[in-house]
Amino acid sequence: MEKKNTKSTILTGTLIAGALLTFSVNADARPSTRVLGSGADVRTEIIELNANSSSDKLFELKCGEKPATAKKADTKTKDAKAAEAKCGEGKCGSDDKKAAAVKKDSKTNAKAAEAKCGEGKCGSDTKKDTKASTSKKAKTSEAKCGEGKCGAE
Amino acid sequence: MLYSAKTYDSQQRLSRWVRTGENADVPGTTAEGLKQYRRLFRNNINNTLTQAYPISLEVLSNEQWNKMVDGFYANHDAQTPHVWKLPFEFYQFARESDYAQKYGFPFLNDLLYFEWLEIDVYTMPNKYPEPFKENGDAMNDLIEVNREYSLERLEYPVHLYAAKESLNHKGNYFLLTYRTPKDFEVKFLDMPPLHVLFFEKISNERLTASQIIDQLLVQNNEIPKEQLAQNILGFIQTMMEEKVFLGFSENYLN
Repeated sequence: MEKKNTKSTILTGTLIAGALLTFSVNADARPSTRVLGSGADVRTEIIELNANSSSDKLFELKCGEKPATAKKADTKTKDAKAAEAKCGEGKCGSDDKKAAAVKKDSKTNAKAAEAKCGEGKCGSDTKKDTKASTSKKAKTSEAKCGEGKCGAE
Repeated sequence: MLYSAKTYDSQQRLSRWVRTGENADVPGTTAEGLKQYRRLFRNNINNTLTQAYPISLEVLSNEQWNKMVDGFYANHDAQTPHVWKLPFEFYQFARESDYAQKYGFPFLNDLLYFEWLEIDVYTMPNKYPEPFKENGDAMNDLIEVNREYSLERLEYPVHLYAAKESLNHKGNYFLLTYRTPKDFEVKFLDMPPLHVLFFEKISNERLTASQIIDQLLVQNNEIPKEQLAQNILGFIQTMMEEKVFLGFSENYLN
């Protein structure tokens, strides 16, 4: 049996008309759906962009261009090897992605699936402490009450 | 067993102290003990929220974040007994309290919601597809859609840019958050309005790509049909690769 879902659209008539008009008029502006990746990848990239106040767009570095963090590192070390990277040698921005993969965490696993009251590191008062534990390794660990350091201010 | 009036009063005083930090004269307690009690409880809530909203935590100053958490803790009567659902109520609280305007960060509601979506989709109940086959005609066969998704419109592209940079790109952005079958990984897609239109018609109205194209040509006959079909074919391929489209429906229409 044919099933029809009555779910309402999130598009307005104006948006639909605009999309169709753009398609019919502008041959260069063909729309494309962009794969952003997993939650952990996107989160890590966005945090990095925010940390560097970068104006870069997610996963859209130009060929040969490096993420803001890499630029900073290069300026400091003046690493000649990095400057020699050529277009076609691997996917652009892949360095950044690798870094993201290393940092990859499981926000949803840690939090959503098994979180119970009392889990997590207890006793860290300042946001700084939490921030470090959130954005780095500690964030992914499944700390349980009694396992963390309690009572430290 | 019912509480005695005295116990109830003590409990109310204690919870008032724990939530607000305002002296509530809880009988039989010591000042130092109460202080630790409040600190531990407050940290539990803060930990849950910081894990749910790492990007917002990065964007806001310590003071701004703590003010929001304190406001939430003191003033919001949680409706859920599940700690992991609390971040959604935090988002609702932040939106209703209009912290976006208070802090001069118009993107804040979108950012919090974007972060919540990952948890929401990850924890959504299983939705099973109808029987489907892997091979078929992308343009003329009905497509079976992975039902474990959430499609949302964002005003600020906080999923594409640093939050403050997103202010320079205000517009209409469509974010598809979905959970992949088998490994249950949450993934994101940024979709243009045209593809949202096709996605919704395929998913909700159960139309084939060619039926949708025919509909659109009736509305606007200046659309180059061949190019549109090519574009949509590419879109369907991407969606198949990403497991948003699972395959082709096995029903009498195919």
